[in-house]
Amino acid sequence: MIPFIELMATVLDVPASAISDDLGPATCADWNSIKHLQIIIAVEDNYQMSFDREEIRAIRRVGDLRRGLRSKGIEP
Amino acid sequence: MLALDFEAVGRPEACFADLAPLLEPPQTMWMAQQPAAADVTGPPGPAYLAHWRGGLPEDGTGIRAVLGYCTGAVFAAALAGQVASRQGTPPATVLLDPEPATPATMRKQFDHALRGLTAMVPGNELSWVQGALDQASDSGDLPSLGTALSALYEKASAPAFERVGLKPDYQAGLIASFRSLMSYLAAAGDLGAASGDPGGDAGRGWASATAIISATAPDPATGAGRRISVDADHAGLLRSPAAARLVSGLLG
Repeated sequence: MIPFIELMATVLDVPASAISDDLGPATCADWNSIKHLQIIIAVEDNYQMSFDREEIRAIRRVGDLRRGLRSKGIEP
Repeated sequence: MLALDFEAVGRPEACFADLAPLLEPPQTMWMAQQPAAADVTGPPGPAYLAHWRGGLPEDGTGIRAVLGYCTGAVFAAALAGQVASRQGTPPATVLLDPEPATPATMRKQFDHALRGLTAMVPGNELSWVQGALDQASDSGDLPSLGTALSALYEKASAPAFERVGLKPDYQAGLIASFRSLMSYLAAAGDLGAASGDPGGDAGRGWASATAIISATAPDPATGAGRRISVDADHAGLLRSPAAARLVSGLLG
């Protein structure tokens, strides 16, 4: 399993040091609707879990992803 | 209060979910979700209004304000008039960076979506789109243009989605979302034309509304009864404490 920060940095193509809970479409120019779903897929594949539609809509920044994982008993 | 905006994953603009917790005193905010494009039949403007009107509470709960962001302002102005007729008292109508829907608005949204695709495919693989776009732009009315641009997006997106390994259901979701955006703009355009009628719901709502205009509003000249400028940018307007203070003040 790829560590969460490393996974985010790879998908977003930014240095690991740029990953923070506040990072999202508003602060990352490359985070568009397609990238958003790429992130979801990467997280789902990495942690062998899935988000439902409402959860995907509610994710708007990295911190929301962490919270979503924790709500499923996964510590990112 | 009722808030109207287009909802999409991964959009950079703040949304009403950002504004709601900043309001003082706290307010209950319902955020209207757009219908799926496939569910819209007949003239799109009235169909959208009927969809949202059908979701209003039946228990007599009053609506103090109707808010709209960007093109959602067109719907907010129209829906406010219908809410007034329904409950007997007019809600406050607050339009945040109101922007009418026009062919240029649709093109802008397509160009934005296309930039997202071109970032994912190499070289000139999507160079054919420009010619097809010029042809699509000759489509007559907004619904026709929206249909043409939706078809173009679906065709252009296929190689990009495959390249980045997007699962088929997510591919379908993004295409449906773009089609829904075009439908939403076509519906707003339909009502925008109606707002030229000062006796109509949209016209009355627009004239009595307060517009909050950011420093980078897409259409800063768009009219409303009262206009207030705020020191925030368009994308961040709905998370701006200054805008939240204004909305709170307008609601008294």
